[in-house]
Amino acid sequence: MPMASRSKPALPAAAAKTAAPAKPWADMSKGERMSHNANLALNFTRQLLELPFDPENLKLLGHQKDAALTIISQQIRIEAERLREPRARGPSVREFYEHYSDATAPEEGEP
Amino acid sequence: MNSPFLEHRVPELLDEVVAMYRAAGRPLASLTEGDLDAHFVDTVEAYIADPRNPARFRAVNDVAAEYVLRRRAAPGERVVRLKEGAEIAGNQPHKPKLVVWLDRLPGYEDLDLPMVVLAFGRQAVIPALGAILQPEGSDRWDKGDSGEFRWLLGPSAPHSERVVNLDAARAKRVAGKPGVPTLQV
Repeated sequence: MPMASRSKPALPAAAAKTAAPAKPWADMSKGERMSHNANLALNFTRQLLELPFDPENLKLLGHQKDAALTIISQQIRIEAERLREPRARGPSVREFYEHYSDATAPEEGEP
Repeated sequence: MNSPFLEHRVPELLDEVVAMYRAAGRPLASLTEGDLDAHFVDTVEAYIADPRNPARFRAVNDVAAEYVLRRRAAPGERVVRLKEGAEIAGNQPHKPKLVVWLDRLPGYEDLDLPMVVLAFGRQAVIPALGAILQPEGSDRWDKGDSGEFRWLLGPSAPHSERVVNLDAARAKRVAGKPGVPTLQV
């Protein structure tokens, strides 16, 4: 019975674009290094997920699955945090009452 | 799509009105249903007579809070100007009423908002009808009205997206087009 082929699939063309940063690593601040690494990680993850689906290459499939699930769970957390943010409330009823109680000229009427 | 004013701003106003009323000890809790309805009519009529009197519009909101807490509908039809021929018992058309000038804001049928009157200066709201009203006899739109109207809308929507278009509303009012079938715009 023939063994499944484990030939390495070709990486997408975008792989070549992850090369040299515009600024030398040694001259970068911590924030710039983080940003650079984040870009590399995003590129790498994109390439990993764009590799052709191969159900016989279990090792690759495992990496792709892990990356996909991690991204999905992070996205859910981000969305949940966004939903938790309080809505901008309008001006309050209490302020409206206070404005009118304090007003000496009601016809001005600009709360 | 629901009106942001009805979906967000009105519930926000109702929450605060109810919270303030509760904090004041819920003074109308002991009224019977009939007495509460009579008190509602008296309070709204007093408000119509002097809409910028803070004690009067606050009293309207206190009554609204009591109806919300009881999950009852206020007899709004007794304080709103009805179309000719639509008079009902107890409406007493000779008395000054609230006049609808904007109604059927999007979503009013779906949001299950209470049938109460909220009043802030010369702007009143009946959430269940998706309607904004003014006391009768105050036809002139003054500077105070603009401020109160902006306050009422709050940050419901950016200017460009507001469902309430003042110019369109005025044109509609001048044209005398009816809104809710039983109410006179």
